[in-house]
Amino acid sequence: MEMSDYSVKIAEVIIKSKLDAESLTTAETAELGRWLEASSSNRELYDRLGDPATMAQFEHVVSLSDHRASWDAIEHGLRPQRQRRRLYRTVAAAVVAAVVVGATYLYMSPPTQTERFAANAPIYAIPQDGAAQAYLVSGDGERIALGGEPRTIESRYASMSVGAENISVEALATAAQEEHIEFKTLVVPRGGMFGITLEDGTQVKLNSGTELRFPERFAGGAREVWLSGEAWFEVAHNDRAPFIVHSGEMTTRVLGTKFNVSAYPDDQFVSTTLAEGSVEVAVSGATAVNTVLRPGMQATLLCGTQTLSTRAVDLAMVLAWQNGELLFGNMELERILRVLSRWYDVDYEYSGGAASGSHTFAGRAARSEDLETVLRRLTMLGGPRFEIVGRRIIVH
Amino acid sequence: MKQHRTPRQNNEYFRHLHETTYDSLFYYLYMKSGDRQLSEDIIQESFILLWERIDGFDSLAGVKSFLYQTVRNKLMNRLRDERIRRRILESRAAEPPTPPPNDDSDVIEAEVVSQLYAAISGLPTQTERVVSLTLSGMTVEQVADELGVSVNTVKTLKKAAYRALRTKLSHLKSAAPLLYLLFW
Repeated sequence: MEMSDYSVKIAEVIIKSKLDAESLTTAETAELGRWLEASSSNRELYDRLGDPATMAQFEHVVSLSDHRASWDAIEHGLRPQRQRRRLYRTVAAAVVAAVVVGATYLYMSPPTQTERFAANAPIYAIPQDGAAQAYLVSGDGERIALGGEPRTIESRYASMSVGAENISVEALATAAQEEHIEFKTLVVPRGGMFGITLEDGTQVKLNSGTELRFPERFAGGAREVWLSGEAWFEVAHNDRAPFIVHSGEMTTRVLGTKFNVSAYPDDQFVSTTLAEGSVEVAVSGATAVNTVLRPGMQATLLCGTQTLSTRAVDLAMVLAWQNGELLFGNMELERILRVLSRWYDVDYEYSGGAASGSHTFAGRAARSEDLETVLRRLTMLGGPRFEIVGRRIIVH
Repeated sequence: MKQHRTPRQNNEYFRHLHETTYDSLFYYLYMKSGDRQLSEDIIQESFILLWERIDGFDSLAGVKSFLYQTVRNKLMNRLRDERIRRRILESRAAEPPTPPPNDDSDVIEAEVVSQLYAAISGLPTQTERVVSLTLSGMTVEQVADELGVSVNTVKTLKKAAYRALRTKLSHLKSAAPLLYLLFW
């Protein structure tokens, strides 16, 4: 049985259970039970079906299209076919009719939001026309564009292999004798994403609009790096040298583990989320204020408060950015716009009447989508109307 | 068992099918693509395909299943073409293939929500309120309380709503004999 056969069938049972549960047969009740128990997402879907929000969404979506116009186009296409049953003629005629009707409709209808959007070239997250995904900045201010063809950058103490999406640092054997340690900063501009393997084998993935300052080789008792923005760390285990991330007002200290740090200057908070192992999070300069996280927990520091709060989070949502996704559950518009501004390298502003408000959204967006598509979905989910002007989003 | 209809019956049947399934298909496509024009085009193409093989179906469920499969395949093809076009534009290495979306739940959502919506619209006011409140998660007792009617009244109105929905769709389910009488 095709999957859609099953879906149509189970849909019938769900409708019956919603409207007239008493009339369900024993077989149908059993069928519904099996489907509900098959996964928790089925249960969530069941609860959502028919609730006012879903119904309102349906009403809005179907109001965008008129089934009568569609039927007229199809009927035009089918007319010759009723006299001569010849497949290709029918299809050709239908396609022509569809195109003509579609074009007429487009031409005659007043400009809609979609068409206004269409006047702009689509904006994609991945930098266009060969713009570098990242830069490597030396202590003396030298700036090297990364990405593109694989190559090697040599410095006095280290050799770095640069790939299209990653840079790998290897300390030279002679460097161990040297006292001096050279620091570099990996800068990932808005719109980019880049990875780095540090000299100790620790892997870091940097989100858009992020800077990581790191030494070419780690020396002494601790491995220390400085972060502004968001990054995912997979720290190589080393009992003798803790790994320390300084991110504004927060310091995260680990031996070897996987965690995410978000510390964008324009967010009013810094947070560390632990996926595996154990980390200690402290307020910078006030190490007495600290907490040890368990996997699945997030520590957040509201800037200026010197107070840490912890809570359990959905790891999939926090880590989705690494797969080029933004998953949001009850996220405020303002926060979603901040993420989009980093992904797509755009700014945003509110027009006169618009208020940022506290309305929250649940949904998803993918980097592979163009900005217009993402914004249109937000509007559809009950958000405000958006306009893209150059590289600015105007919220109406 | 295949149904045999006259061309005119087929035409009527076909128009009813289009009217009944259009909103659910559009919702399904639009929620996946966010593109009105693309969604409309795919529905048109799919109905033209359906017309060619309308005699091959013996149930409404079979037709719906065919339509969902067809629009899904067409959408996947368009999205794939779009990805390829974009990749050439950027001359980037092959991206990992997008996993197929969970069609199971998307089809179910489109199907259930569209039918519930159809069931509610066109109902007498009192019945509509009963059904809306029920769907928002209230028990029969809570609905009765809210509307100031008896529990039995609520149950009766709910049954009437479901029957009305069945009636709306029944002429599509076993269409041939009925349509023969009506339209020939």
